[in-house]
Amino acid sequence: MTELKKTPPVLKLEDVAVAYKVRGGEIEAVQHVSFEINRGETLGIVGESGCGKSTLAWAVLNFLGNNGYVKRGSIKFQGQELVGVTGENLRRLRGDQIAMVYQDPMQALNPSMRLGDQMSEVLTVHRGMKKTEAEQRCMEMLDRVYMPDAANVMKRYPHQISGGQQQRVVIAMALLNDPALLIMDEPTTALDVTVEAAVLDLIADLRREFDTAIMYITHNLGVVARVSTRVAVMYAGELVERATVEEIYKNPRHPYTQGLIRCVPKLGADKARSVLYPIRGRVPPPNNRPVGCVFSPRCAFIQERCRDQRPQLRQLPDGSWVRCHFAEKIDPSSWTPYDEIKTPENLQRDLAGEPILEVKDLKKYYEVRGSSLKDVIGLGEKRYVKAVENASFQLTRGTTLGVVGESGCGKSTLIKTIIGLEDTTSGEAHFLGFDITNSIKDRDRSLIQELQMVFQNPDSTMNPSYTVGQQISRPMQHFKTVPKDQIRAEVIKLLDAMRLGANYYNRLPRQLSGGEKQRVGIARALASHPDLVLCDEPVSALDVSVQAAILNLLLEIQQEYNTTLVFIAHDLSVVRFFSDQVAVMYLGQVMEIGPAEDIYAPPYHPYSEALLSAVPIPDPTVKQKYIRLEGSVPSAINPPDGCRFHTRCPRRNLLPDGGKICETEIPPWREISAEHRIFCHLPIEILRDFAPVVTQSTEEI
Amino acid sequence: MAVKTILQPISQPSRLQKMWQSTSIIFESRVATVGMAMVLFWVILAFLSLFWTPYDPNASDFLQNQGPSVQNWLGTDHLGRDILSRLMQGTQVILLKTRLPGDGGISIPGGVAIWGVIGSLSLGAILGLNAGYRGGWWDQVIMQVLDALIAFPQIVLYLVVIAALGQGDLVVILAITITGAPGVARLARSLAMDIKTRDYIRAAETRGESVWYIMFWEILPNARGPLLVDGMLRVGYAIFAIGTLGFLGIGLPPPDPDWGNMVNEARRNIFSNQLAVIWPALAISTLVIGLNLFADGLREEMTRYQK
Repeated sequence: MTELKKTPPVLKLEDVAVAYKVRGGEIEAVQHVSFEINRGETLGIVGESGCGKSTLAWAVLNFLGNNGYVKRGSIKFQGQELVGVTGENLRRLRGDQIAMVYQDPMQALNPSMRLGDQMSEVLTVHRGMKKTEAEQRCMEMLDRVYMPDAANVMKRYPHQISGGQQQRVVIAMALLNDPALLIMDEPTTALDVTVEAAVLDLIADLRREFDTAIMYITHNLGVVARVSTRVAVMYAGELVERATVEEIYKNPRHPYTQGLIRCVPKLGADKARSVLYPIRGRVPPPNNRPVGCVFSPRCAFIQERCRDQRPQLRQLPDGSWVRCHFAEKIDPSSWTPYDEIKTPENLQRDLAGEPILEVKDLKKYYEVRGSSLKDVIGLGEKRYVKAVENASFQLTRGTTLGVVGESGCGKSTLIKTIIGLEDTTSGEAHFLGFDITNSIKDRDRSLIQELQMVFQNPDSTMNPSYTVGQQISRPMQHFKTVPKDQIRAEVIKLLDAMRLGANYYNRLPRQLSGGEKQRVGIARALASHPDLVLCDEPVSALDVSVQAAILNLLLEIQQEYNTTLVFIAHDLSVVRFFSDQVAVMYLGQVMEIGPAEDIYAPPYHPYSEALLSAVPIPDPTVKQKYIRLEGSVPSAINPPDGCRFHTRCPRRNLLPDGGKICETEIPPWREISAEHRIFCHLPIEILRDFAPVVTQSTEEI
Repeated sequence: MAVKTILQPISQPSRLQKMWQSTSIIFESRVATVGMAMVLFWVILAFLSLFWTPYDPNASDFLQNQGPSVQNWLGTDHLGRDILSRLMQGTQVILLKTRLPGDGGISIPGGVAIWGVIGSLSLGAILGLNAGYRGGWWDQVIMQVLDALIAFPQIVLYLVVIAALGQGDLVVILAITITGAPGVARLARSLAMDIKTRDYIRAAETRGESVWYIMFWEILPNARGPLLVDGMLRVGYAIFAIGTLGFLGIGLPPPDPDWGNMVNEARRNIFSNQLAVIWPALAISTLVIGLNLFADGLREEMTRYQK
């Protein structure tokens, strides 16, 4: 550490403010931000959306667009002032000494150029290297980011490799010039957990190996815990806390940081034993920030002084920096939930009750049409995408089934089939005793009414042309559940239950925030008083504090109306918290199904085990087993024979013959208990021997 | 001004405020403002002509082929009629009234160009929404037929319709409807295909709503912006088409003066009286250009607003 102090920091920001010129004025998106990053250090920047994280990254690169500029302060890169640098000098810096990795790798790579050409261009332009030499270096770099078969990848186009590999190429490209500073803006947000885990490992390795300074922006507290050495928390354009990663999680000083950590379910926490506490209110828009402390309207410890005096970022005796007047006096354990959060009671559900939905051997295949002449005239061999294969489960009234798995594993298709947006290829499905293998067009209106859905994307869940009231009342009119003259009252009652209030009745979707839109979406689904609500990733597009509020809301509703829920999510902690029963899907096949607590503890299916070990956990002291899956999910058109997971299974070699049987034979269902089943060739005894993935460790890292 | 209205609290804006909000967008764009001024000029002239024109547009009161004078501001035509009066009267059939067939001389409000565009918008939207939302065979059949229709030169289509049905305001409307519908349908189809992927359409489907409800109550309101702008452009094309038909002598029937016909008749005396050709030609082009500028500016401003 002492050695590091001698050289100047790679990046040093002092009291930076960034402003955007807009119609009728100017908006200061970022204010009073100061921090520094040294060599070999990763500074994680966290905060909810709209807090100015990305703006900060663009400010460093002077990439703010036509209407943005650094209003105050200085940004020093290796001692050199960056504010005001333009033209050729700026161009030299970008890509040569400062490199950036964005969220979506597909958009960072040019789809019409071979990867090798794109990569070597960095070297031929910035370093004036010869083409052959440049290609050689690119190849070495691809090897260093653990890209299998680098020579081959160089010849391919971006669409020919998977998302995780694309992100590796982007990272390799960023590292080619050996940049002193690497800025990463949510580089793993668009990836699956298993791929994300591998990329995060890579980033940690590279920091050690290249001694690069990394500025890592993310909204995910778990990811920060895994990659960062220090963490800066941003709120409403200001830096509110800065400390080492251990300090932040063990001893958060700022009330906002404390609030964020309370919002996220811990892996293993469930709804019966723990409660999520959302932060009340929402992030203020940049043109309407409070006069005093920016967080004061949402702070539980607010004092008179906070309202009119803006706190400065100051160092506490233990070394962490915090922007709070009362940081020393605040005792997180004295924190009490707001009155509006009811502590849910009696949430443990009986899985053996009356089944409301029974699915047996449900299959959904999509026909794919080839492009050969034979296929066009209909003579070609018919091929199918096997989106859902032999799904079987039972759902008890009033319980929640969580469905997890990587993208493309058939989670969404499963619920689309249940709700009737897609018809069933074969198998049985009964809902309340009625057959529901048909499409929704052939269903009785009273049956449709009992099955409703909540969608993922808050921006497209509401029709932009109608008011909140019109949209919630439509199901009531359509199903005639409420007499015409009482519809308005009923809608307002529902709005109240969603904690929105009657004044939302006449609002249009564009006047609502993401969380509010999602609430309206839930209200609309509940308007016909359905028995079963299917939720397709209802919280994954939301900020953590909003996510906590929506989850609580769903729990409350479930309790009040005794609604049954099917809950799809890719966040395993959320699923664990929210569900009574969990199904793990892989390539259309249910791999493991059982009560939530059983899924998250041994015996595991090897795939569940791998998923669990990939989840980023917002606690740097937790020890996680290291299991990384090779490659990506195979195509569902030609799923592997035998066990679909055998191509990536890390546990196959436990079987005799290195698991030959997995390649040829479909595995049996291993009954662990009445409700818990695992679809695997491994005998129960071996499965039971797996050590738990997550262990609390008391020792310091 | 516009900024002010946006920043006002959104609690309960009055109807007037709402109207101002939706129209203020026009003044954000200079192009749209200029276009609107040009269009308004003709609309005001048209209304004025309902009550007053300088002279009787169809009376041969003056010397033939005279240049502009204090008496006849724009001069006279080959029959000694006042050109200004004829131009003013000519806007009526285009923008303000449609004469129904029969001897009664009854007309309905809304000009031939307006009704023609309303016709092509409705027909095109119905076809396009069906093709775009339902997809599959519906899409194939509808779009193939429309593509075949597009393959004909428009002028031939006009000639076919008019040759089959004879002259008249309603026939011109029908001709404009048929030639305009394929374009509108293509636009409506692409909008429907985009909008149908949104979750609120899924929500309507899982509610068991009928296909027609989804098309007209869920999709159409969100497609109305681009469709209206397109419609405005189409009014321009329609005026152009009416001018062309008039020039060919198969446009709007007398007694009302028709701009295209005015050009055609004055063409014969072009060497002695050029201005008689120029005035109606100028009228057609300013109105069409005005509509184009208005629609373009509006479209630009609307897409900017969304982002």
